[in-house]
Amino acid sequence: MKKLKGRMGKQEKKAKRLSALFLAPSVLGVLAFFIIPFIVVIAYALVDNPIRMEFVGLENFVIVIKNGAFQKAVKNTLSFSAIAVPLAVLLSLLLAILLEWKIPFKSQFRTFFLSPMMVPVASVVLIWQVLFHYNGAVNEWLSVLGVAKIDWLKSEYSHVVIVLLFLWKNLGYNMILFMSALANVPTELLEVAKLENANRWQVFYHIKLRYMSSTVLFVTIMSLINSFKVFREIYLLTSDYPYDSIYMLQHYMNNMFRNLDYQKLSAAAILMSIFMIILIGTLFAIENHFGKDVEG
Amino acid sequence: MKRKLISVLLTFAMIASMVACGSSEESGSSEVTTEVLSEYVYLPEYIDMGWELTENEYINTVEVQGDTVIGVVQGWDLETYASTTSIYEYDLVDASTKKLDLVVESENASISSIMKTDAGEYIALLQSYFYDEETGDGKQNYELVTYDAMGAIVATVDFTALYDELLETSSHAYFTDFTVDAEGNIYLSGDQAVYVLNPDGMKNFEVSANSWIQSLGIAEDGRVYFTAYEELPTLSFIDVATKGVSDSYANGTIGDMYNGIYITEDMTGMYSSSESCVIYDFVAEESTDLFDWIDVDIVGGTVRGVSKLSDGSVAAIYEDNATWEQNLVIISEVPRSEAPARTELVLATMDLGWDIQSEIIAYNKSNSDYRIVVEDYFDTSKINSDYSNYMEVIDEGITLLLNDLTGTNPPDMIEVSQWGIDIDTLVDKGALEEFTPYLESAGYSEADFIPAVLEACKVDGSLYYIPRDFTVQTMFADAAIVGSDMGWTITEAMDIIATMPENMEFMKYATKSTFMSQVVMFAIDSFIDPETNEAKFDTDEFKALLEIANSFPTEFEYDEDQPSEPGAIRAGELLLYSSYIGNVSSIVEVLAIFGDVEATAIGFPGVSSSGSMFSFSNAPIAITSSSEHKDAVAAFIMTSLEPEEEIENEYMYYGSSYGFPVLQEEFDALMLEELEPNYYLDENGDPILDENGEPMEQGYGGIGYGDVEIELTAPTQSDVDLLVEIINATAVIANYNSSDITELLSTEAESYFSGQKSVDEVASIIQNRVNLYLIENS
Repeated sequence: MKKLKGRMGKQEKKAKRLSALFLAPSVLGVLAFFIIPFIVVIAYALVDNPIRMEFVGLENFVIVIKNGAFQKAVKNTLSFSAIAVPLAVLLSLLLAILLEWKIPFKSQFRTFFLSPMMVPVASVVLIWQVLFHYNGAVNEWLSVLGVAKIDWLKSEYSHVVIVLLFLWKNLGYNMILFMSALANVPTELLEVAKLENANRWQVFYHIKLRYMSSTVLFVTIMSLINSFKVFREIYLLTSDYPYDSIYMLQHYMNNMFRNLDYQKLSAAAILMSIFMIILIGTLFAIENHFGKDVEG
Repeated sequence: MKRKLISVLLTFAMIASMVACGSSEESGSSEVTTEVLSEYVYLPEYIDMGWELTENEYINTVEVQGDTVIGVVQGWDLETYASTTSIYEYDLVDASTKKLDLVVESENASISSIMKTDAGEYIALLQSYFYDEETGDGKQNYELVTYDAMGAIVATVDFTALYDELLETSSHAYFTDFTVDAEGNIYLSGDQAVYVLNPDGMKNFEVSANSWIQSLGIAEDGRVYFTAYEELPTLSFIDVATKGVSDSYANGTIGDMYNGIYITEDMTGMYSSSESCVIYDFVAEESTDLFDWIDVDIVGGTVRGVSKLSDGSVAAIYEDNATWEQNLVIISEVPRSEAPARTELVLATMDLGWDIQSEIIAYNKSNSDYRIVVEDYFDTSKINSDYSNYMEVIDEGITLLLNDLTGTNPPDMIEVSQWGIDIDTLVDKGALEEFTPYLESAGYSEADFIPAVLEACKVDGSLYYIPRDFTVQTMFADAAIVGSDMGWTITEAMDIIATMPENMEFMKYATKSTFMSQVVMFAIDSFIDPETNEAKFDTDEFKALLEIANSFPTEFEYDEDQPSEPGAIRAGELLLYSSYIGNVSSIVEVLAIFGDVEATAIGFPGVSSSGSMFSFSNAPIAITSSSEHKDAVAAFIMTSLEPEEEIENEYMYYGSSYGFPVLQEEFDALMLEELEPNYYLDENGDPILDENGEPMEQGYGGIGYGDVEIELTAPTQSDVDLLVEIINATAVIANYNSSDITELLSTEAESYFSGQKSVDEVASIIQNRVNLYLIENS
């Protein structure tokens, strides 16, 4: 028995060593590309500047939080996410439901909504510049209706343009995820509901949506992350200092990087990470609460 | 077991793929090349060719052919007053020198180009000038003269007839260079064409280019080429059989090949740019810097030609920037371990000044402990031939510099250019070391310097650099119109524009963009509230300024009937006269232009204090706070303040004094010198006396502007007083850095100028975007 235990212990140790060996590249990768850079970011956030590197405690966080531009960026980013993310989830869900029906040109519609994913971001920007430039196509069309020219990218309307751009870019991907989730709803449940005379809304709300809750959470998280990444398109459309209504958190961070203000950039990045962790954690908790009865 | 095997294989594949992210020595990637190159350094060897020239001789042209350097020396015999021509030859293999006196039959003749044949004969392009008594006109003759090894004329090919023929159709008829191929065909480079002559001198055909011919020569494979700057710098090979161009290659970089190019059989060319010795692969269309001239202790712009020697080293002919003598240097690649071990002081630059190059070279040649290495962050080789990405390359350089400042290997000093990185940014980030303690330990105090310059250089009350010299950039105007006080606000300027006579222009040659860059950009601070840090671009004042800018033409149209700038001032048709004051003569000239009218140095509207701005012809150097060799860097910077260095600096500008010293004592001495009468001197240096026994004073000449002649007079005390008054009242340094605000302004203003948006819309957008910038940086 002792011998067997010893052999088991040896095998366990060997298995652990082997596991550690297999895990090592990934651990090293995560260390090199995530953990160590994040530690560096924390270190930068606590010093006066990247050259002198004198410890200043939480002063950078105070400076960043008090900065008007940072406050504006937070407000814009949150308001953008608050509008764009629900729209992205709802509209893509709606599209997925519509395409679930037997309608003509179903597959063509699917391809059409997916096509923005395949367009490189530089081309996307070009298309939107052609559309929403002061002398662009949209203003040309509006002028036919007698509407005066609108400076879409350098006025309060810019928020609308960016939301449209975000939806155009992301609806297709979200839609595919929802279509896949809808296909996985157990058909026997749907048939039972039909036999029980449940109406469409009841079927959707009490069965489909419950079974899709994890997908809804995933799509929401992905859309949320993508909403924070809309900076790329805005930057290419309007450069470092856009009209203030579309000045996002990443504008602030990008400009801090350009100005060698790594300490402010790091403080802002940490604040944003904390917010994201809390938000995504909350979403997981909500999903856990409402969706646990249909899992596993 | 099977699963374990698959896992091991996958792990192996992953590790292998990670290894492949690097590069092996055989891969030939640029990273590897850099690594291989970094193991070697290029070391210069300055060759004394033993050409002992007399005071009456000068080198007219020097060329490297194979392993031989051939120089044509011209002079005159003091006894007979006849001109002399000699060939000096230096053999690089056995280091021997040979002199050969040539027979030149024509008077007033000079050899502009020479080549040695395999048979040991010399062929020279001889250009002579003579006065035609019959017509009363001057005339030029062009000949190709062949000399034997003893200097006697063997053959002459006269192609003056070709020159005369060209003269009938063009006023730009000349021949600058020639070459002769293996078949004896003669190739002459003219203004925008290469003329190919049979061996007997009869014209066979010509090859035209769309721009001037830069160079002409023979490639390693024996083919004759010429380079020209057409839409791109272009290399073309001439084919006698087809009487045209056989192959043509464009050089996609901005690299000029006007100093000639050494072309190997595999179509790589070696030529000298103003900064480096460049290798250009015409097939792959790739440019590589073999080495920077500054790294081999040569001022880049002084190199007159490069050639590859049989042992692989590079021979370069360069001009000494103090004596203008032509010298030879051989640059060889040696293992780094063989180079003298010295601590490197890295100078980061975006715009390396001419004088600084000389100072670095002098320092590197004389210092056994330290060596200054220049890290140029403005990589001109990346600039497209149409300069379309010029600003991107500057921005890329600034980003790289900022990254290096925060990296593990920061530079020891930075050239604080007015066109590069903003000094306020560097100071704000703690990148610069305060300079005052180093000045004090070198025995200087702040009182030793011109106070206004010193104050203008300070950032938040601290001094981070000392300029070598300075000039003042200002605007002069009629005092009756602008008043006699220096400096004016934007509002005052606009009031004057509104009330000045109808036929009067505000600025000469002004366009929308020049008005924006010279008035609006300089006055940006006027539109930012210093207390609240809020923008004021949506004000009526700024809108009015945009409207004024819009009243200027988009592009300046040259009209030869238009009066010159001084002419317009004298005629009362121009308000502002722009001036860079670099010596007292600049003041004398401006006052002479205004004549009897009292002029005020009113400066640029909106610029604080006097409206004038200091400018530095050489970007000052600041010590980085992260340097480990601050004392050594400070000692180097301090050399530019030494009196003899300052005097040398003053005479660096092609013999004329320009730029003022920053040391008060030196400045005062210069002013006294300027006030001293300029007498004719005899051979002993004593003034020559006139019939009354008074020293004969030299005239100061005049300047002709076409429509106006200005007579210059000796500087007076009042001129010096005015200069001192302007300097003392000046408080800012001209800043040409393209900031985010200036870019925003020019971009948005453009939509108003092009008529797309109204002035209100544009002002509102500028206000919104600039405010965002200000809030972010508050």
